[in-house]
Amino acid sequence: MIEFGQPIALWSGLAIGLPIFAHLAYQKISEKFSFSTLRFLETSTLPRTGRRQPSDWLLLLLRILLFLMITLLLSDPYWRTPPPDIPVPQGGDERWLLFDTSPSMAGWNAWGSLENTLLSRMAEEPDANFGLLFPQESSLRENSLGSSLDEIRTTLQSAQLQPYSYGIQAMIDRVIELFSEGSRSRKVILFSDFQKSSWQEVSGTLASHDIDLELIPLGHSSGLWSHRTGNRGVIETKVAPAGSGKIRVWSLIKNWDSNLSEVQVSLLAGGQVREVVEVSLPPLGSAQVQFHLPAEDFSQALVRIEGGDSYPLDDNQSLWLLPPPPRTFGFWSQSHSDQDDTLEQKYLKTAIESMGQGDWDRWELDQKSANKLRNGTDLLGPDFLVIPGLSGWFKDENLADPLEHYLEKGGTVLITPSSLSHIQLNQSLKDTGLLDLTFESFEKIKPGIDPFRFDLVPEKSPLSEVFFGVAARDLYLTQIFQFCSTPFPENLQVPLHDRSGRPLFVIRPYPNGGKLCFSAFRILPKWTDLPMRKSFLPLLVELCSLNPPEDLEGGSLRIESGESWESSHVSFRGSQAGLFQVDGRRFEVVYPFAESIPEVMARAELADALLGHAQSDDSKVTNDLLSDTSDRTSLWLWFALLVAGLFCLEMILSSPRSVLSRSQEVPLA
Amino acid sequence: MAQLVENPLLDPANLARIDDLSLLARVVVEGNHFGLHRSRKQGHGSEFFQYRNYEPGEDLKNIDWKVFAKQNELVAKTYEETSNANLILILDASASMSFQGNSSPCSKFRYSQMLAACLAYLAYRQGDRIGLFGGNQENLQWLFPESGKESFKSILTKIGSMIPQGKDPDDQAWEKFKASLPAQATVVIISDFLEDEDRITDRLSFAHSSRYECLCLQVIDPIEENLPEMDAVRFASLEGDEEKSASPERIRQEYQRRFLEHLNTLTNCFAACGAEYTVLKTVDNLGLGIRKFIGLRSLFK
Repeated sequence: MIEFGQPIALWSGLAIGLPIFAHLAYQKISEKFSFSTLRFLETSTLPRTGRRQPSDWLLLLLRILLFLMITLLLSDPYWRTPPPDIPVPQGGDERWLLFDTSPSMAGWNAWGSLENTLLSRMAEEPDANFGLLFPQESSLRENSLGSSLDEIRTTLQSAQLQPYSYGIQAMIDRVIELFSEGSRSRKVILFSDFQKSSWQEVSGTLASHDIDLELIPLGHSSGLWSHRTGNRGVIETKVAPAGSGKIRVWSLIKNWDSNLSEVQVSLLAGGQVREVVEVSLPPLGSAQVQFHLPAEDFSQALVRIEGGDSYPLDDNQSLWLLPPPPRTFGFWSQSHSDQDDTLEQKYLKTAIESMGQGDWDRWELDQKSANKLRNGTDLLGPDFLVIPGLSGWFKDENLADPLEHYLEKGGTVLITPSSLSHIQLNQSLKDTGLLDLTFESFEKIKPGIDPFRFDLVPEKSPLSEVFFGVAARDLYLTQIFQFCSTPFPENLQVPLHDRSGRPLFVIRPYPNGGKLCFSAFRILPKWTDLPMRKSFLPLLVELCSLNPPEDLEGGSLRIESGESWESSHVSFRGSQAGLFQVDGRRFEVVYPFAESIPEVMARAELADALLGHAQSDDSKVTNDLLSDTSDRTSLWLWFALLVAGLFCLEMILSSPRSVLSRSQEVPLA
Repeated sequence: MAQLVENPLLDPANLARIDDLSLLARVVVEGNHFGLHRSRKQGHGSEFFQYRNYEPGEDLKNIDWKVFAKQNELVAKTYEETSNANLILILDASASMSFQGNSSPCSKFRYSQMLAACLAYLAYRQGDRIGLFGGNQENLQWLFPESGKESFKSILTKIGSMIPQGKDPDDQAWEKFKASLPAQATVVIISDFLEDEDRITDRLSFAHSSRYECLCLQVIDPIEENLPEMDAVRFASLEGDEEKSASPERIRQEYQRRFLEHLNTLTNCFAACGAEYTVLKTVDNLGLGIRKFIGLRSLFK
């Protein structure tokens, strides 16, 4: 039987009235008539003659047929073989109870009213089979269909609010699979505060699976499905040194209400309220508060809005007050260090330790960690590893493997050449595969000849952002007395070279942020006057990327609950709000900012998104197409050919048959 | 007279097929109007006409002595007498003259051409001097009256070469024409006279004089009297870009009233000027116009 993919297009069949009207409204066209004079003529209305019966029946029928065919063509006709009879399902009424465990449910007593509301709803349909589904601890928890009221009550009492919004989309997708084939009626009953950030991107196709939807809002304080009021939250806290012996705690308080709000914000440290600040919050605006504490007295603090409000989770925020732990460095040198090695190591130790800018940015020698890395007993190692005077000993001690591992984990290494022989250096580098370089010779200045110097830093180089003006001149005047000469390497970065273009500093980057830096000269006055210059430390910091990481605020890392953080040797997932310290790295976990937003979804919008109304027809069609392609044959092409043929015939019939004489009239229709 | 009207040789439907105006005029005049007009006078003229037997008592200077010397026979030469009568044909060749209705055998201009040729032939036969004025603003013709065969042929050639287009000659051309009129003349105007009546009065001001006799032959098409039988027509003026859409059925009565009023105005206007006036339709035979002309000449004589 013929069916239509777009039955609504059949309405266009009303257009057959057009040719009928055109034939009835037959009108004669006045012909031009050349006349000797128009002096005695007056204009008059032209006669329009309608007809009681259409003219030219054949053409009219042809045109009606043409319009009908076009209508059918637009309706996407197809031939469908009737499917075999499908037995009508005889199952019971299935109801899946879904609820939201995102942090925003903690506000406006949504979570508190969940149990009573849900159980009351169950009692309304005593004959239905109920199942329970909700996100819990990064997965979905289910009570299968047919669970009793007590079972569901028990599950509800064990359910906990999650510290982050998780699994709402997964829950909607999963519930579709949970209905049985033979169910008589299907319904999803959703209990949630429908907070906007949690639900705005959720979508479903419930309608296409014949699943009804019931939305039961919780915690809509001032009226169902309207935005909630009465929330203020701490959205940011930071700590920074504030002069000698003091630190400053800075906090940003947000008012989510459209009314002016006066609040007291207190700072708790060491179990006591240390300071209380009154602040006036503009409507839908924010204000800053500051507290001062003596440095080093407390390790952590809590900024709290006094008095509480409708959503308590964002009323306080904890923060670490301690300065960040120092960054560490260490040395690998040959067991029997020569004088140059010792001198360079001492110089670099002093230089690196002086790179920090006080307690909040310190470098500390951690030779034990470096040794453990060298021995293979601890693969973490220090933040920065220096290998002065690399030579044959490196290869002999099989240090390439731990070094590669360290680099792949994101470590930074500085290597300087040995003073003895570049041949052994070549051998070590080649055999270990650290650097694809072959040093040709030691270049030394000869008496009476100017020393080698750094070339100008190219404008596009990242170094040019640091070295300009006096600093650039200082670097430009730096003398190199001797260095290992090598051809320009491929696939390696060369940020510095001498004025003849020979590399003086080579960097091999690693995918995980690791960096192997090779200096073609030693950091010794015998090799260069660089250690004596102001530009030395900035150059070392820039070339080895020793700047403090930007994502650290006061040495601790703030993440929202549910987020993860990974580095070369620390992996942390913020499963709940609070302060944490993992392997020396401090974390501040806060509740997601988006959960504080008091807006809720519009009911109709949410229902459409979950039912998939906008797509249900399409998806039905798509599903039909996918499932029944063998049962249906599109007639579109046949109708298109028919329309084309009728159109040609119409053109032939309606074309003028002969040249009209002067008195003949041309019919319009 | 009845014979003349029914004579197929005067039917414009037949005559319109004859391209040669000279032949046409001869067919019409010789074949149908013989005896109705004066023949050419033999007398003292400059142009030889024919020989005849010498009558005793006649002036000896008429004898052609050369013939007597050759044939020993007295014959007298006769000459065409040249008259001092002038015929001036004024032919309207404006675009409106090109109109031809569905039922008409020829256009108004073709009818006028044929009529003018016949009148010219009549005048030529009588030895009158014939002049021609007319045409249109683009191609204005003014041949001063002259007698003789060559002049006659020239007149016919000019008449035949005219093409109806544009507008009729402007007032300036008419003023020049009037200023150069001979002292005495018969002026025959062949036109549809569809222009403004006031202008006609100005142009025919010379007809007030007794030295000029004026005959106005208005040539119209039957359609111009009654409008075509059509439901709706977009009328386009032949003498301009103006157009008017109308249903002839609806405006016919008013049109006929206006047209008749125009003809009456023309009658009064020509009468005031002292001009004879006749309306000819393109379906009428040419004899009507010719008789009107002959009648006028007789009256004048």
